[in-house]
Amino acid sequence: MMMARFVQSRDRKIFDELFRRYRRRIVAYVGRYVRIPALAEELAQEVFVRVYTTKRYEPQATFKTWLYRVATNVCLNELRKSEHRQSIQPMEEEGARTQAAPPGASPEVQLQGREVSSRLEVVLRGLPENQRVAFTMARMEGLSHAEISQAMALSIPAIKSAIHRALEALRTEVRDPGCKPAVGRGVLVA
Amino acid sequence: MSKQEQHHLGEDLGAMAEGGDTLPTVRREELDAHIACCPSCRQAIADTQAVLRGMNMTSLEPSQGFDAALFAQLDAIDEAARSSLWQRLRAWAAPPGILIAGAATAAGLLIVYSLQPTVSPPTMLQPPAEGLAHRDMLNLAEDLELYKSMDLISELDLLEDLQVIAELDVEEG
Repeated sequence: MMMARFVQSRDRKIFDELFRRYRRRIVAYVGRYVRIPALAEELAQEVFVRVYTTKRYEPQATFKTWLYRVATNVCLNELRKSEHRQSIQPMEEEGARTQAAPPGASPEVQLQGREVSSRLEVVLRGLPENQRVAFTMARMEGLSHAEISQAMALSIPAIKSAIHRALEALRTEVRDPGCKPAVGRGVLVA
Repeated sequence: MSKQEQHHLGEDLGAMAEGGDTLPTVRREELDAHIACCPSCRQAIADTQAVLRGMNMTSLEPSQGFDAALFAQLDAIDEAARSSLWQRLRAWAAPPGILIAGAATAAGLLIVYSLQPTVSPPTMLQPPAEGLAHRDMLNLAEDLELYKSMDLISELDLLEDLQVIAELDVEEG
């Protein structure tokens, strides 16, 4: 409702409230696609500029869902451009401002975690777009299957399947680094 | 998938790795019971938790200048919108010189138009003049059966009328 009110009134205070609520999440979300912090912030700003300049907002979904869809579009557009430029670099090379490892973790554990994280990033970047987006929204942003379904305009079963396939690929990387997964269903029948 | 990686949790693996809170209670209890006696599913959950931990370690945080940079962009957008609106208004309300020139042109056209002589209907279609010979009048009336209906004639297009009259003359003459 806040977004609908903002579009009607153009009241900057309403926008500021929306921005305050979602700024961290959107920066983190965009940062999962684009591993260059400066570029990630630039794209996150573009997301909020799009929100600010939106003239038509039809609240068929929640604002959060709509916002993530805008962010996903911005990121994927950038990635498609980047594929031509070949300019994506790991976040570590750019001196990232990242969250610290869990409190109390030893430097060795932190280093090991970073190595795993880097490998997973590579696998995630290599996944098909649907799997990558669905997994990121679900497991890293905490969106429900229904919300992702709305954001990606795909059915809930398709979303579940995409997340599952992405997770299997990542899990294989953790167990057998460098192996390509052969994803099976393996469903426990009730 | 190798035997080591095999698990039986299907698409609920991710949810179970996160504690299973998002699953229906019945399903979660069922999976908990299975996991308790299935080493490969326990391993799959441990791997998945490692994945999620690894992915969440590198979460980007906004820099200190992030908010200020965005608000500067928004201010620039607002300013551009305001100046654009002002330009449109100025364009709409044109400068006085142009308005005066436009008014003068319009007045000139009006005067020229009012001085033009009124276009008279063609002589042929007018009622016969008093001086016209009686025989000529009868001939004309015979040629033009429409003579009695001057209103109808006056509504016709002049060139077409002349053409029709000429053709009637040819046919009847």
